[in-house]
Amino acid sequence: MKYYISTLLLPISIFFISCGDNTTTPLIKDINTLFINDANITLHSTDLAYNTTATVVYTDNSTADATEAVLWTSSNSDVLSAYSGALTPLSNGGNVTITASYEQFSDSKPVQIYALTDYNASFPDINATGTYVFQAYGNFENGDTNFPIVNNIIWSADNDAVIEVTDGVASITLVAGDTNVTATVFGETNTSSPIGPQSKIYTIN
Amino acid sequence: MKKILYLLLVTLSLYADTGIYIGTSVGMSNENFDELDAQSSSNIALLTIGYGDIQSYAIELSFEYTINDSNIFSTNGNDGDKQGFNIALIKSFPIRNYAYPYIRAGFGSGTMKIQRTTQSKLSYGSYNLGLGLYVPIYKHINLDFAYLYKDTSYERINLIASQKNYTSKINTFSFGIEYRF
Repeated sequence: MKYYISTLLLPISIFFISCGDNTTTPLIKDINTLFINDANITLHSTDLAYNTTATVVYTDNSTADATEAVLWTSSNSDVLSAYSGALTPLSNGGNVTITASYEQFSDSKPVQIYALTDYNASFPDINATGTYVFQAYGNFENGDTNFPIVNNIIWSADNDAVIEVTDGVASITLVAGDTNVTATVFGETNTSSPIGPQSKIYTIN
Repeated sequence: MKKILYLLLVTLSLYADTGIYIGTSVGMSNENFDELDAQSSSNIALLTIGYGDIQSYAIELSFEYTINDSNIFSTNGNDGDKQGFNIALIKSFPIRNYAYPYIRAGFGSGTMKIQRTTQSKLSYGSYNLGLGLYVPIYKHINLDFAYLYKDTSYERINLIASQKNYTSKINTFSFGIEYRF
């Protein structure tokens, strides 16, 4: 019996010697603010996705990248998509507000999309079968000229031509016969529009 | 792991001589965090209900209330009191008829209110090991002296960009009384 009581009393003694203190100052940092790192974002309407980021600031003034953790929204998802901080223009021009949010924390920033005013598809001179590169360049409302169109452009060709498009640049393999190659931006079908489809017919014997 | 332990507890309890008991205890606990230089000393109260034999095995369920005077997690106020449940298998070793030392193993879980920007409560789970002594003082009535060691793991703290997990070791001593039907 004495053995068991002694066994119990030993840890009790150690316990009462060691206990008594309470930590009353929180040691785990908390969230202070959340913000989008870019102040004013401008994009051409035919740009590829622009990647913005969000940062969380803690109570100890340390920071961390919160881009993947926050919810990204666009005030007009027909004009701009904002998925995981990747801002992709979807229409020809406009002003939207993007928001990064997480529960009660959020930050919003304006995004201006410069509209394409007209463009020029470069149709190379071709007189033999083979693979050729096609690229279009645009002029924008902010005055930027001859700017490469890398998004929101569709290249098409008939006569069994093979098309591969990477970032708006088309590699088209032409075969013998008449081939109509067309560039279309923003789905514009009105040929009289400055941003209407542009095409060229190649005849290869 | 907890499911296996639970099945073990239930299975072994079938071998216990039938008998329900209830009890209540008060005590003190001392918690030390593994990742933080933080400590918490608290008063606790327990209500227990068990099924088994004081001379061999028993399975026990306890409700535990911890008066928390520390503030480790909250940044907009204070950490609240803890409320938890434990389940344990108890094996006692009778010394004639005047004392019944025992060992116990089990697990528990609970929750506490906290005041952080993105969290208002924090759950925790623990693996528990303990030892103690039943001392019969009257027919059906026993005193219970107990020591319990808890390996505790808290729910993740949300920092938006990351989630942080904290663990602690809790030593608890309690004294109580129980009634066996």
